[in-house]
Amino acid sequence: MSEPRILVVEDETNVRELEAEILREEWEHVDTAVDGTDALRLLAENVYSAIVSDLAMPKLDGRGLFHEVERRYPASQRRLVFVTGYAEAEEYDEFIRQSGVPVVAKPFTIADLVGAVQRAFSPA
Amino acid sequence: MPRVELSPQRYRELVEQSRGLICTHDLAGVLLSVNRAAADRLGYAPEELVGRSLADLLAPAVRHLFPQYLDRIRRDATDEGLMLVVTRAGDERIWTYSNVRGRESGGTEYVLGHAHDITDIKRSDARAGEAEALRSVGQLALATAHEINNPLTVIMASLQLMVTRGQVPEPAAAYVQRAIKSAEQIRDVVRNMSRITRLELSRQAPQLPAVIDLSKSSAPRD
Repeated sequence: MSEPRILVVEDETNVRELEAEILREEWEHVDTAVDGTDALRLLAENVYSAIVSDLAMPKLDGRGLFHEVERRYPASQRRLVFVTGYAEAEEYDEFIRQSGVPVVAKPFTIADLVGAVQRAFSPA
Repeated sequence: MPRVELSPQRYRELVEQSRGLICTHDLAGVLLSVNRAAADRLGYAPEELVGRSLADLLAPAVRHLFPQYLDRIRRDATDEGLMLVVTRAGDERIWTYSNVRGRESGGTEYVLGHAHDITDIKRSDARAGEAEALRSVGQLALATAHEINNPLTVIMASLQLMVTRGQVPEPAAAYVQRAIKSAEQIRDVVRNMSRITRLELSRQAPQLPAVIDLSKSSAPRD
């Protein structure tokens, strides 16, 4: 397989840039999207080894992105990782449980984020 | 529709059998009659109450307002509002009353009182208001936690990134470690607060009576 390519989807600029910077320490190709709609634009152009996405976002949130990926790129669905805070997770509790997508809790450590992305490369 | 004339006997029965709380008292507040429903609510027999002052049945906290009530009913001939009564067992109940002054054929003035016990409605309103206030506080706590999480993520991960890149010179390393530890403490506080708040919010979900709780009423019987 070619070099891994990672997509970071996060509406909060500081968090998005930081996540990308952390992941660029490990991998060369890291793209960023500001919400689910922006992510779909990039997914149409590239194949990603991991998609690291926030849950609560304007336009298209993490749940909407999950369903669109499931519909358009079913092979990429298992490459998803959600990054979310415990506070907002309640709204998404049922969805997270049913989707089986791994979750990294904000605020995360570098090891949390990198570990979750590595596991997404070869999902169980 | 033909007009039905009621005899005095029928009127008495109507009052006696009414579920409304009915009494008469003189202009000094001494009870002249009390119907069965009112006496039952208070835990007395009607005859035990006749001759006593209505003020004796008021909760001690509001008893001092009784002379003002008597002044109003003497002056205006009608009065309505809420009264806090106390039962024989010592329970306080909230009654809404609407009283009017009348005159017997002999010329003696008296007051006809009519009341309803609204304690349960008032208490359930108060509980609903309290639950609503707690829900608002809970939502605010969760929204605050959400707002804290993003900047805290940036602080914690930025500090870690500086350490892993070896960008922290030795004299500053202890300060950075201290900052990371403190940020982790904030993270734990926010996480615990969110967890407790979520637990409280789920505990406050409305407790419906079985008859309108579909999950119970539709459960299979075997």
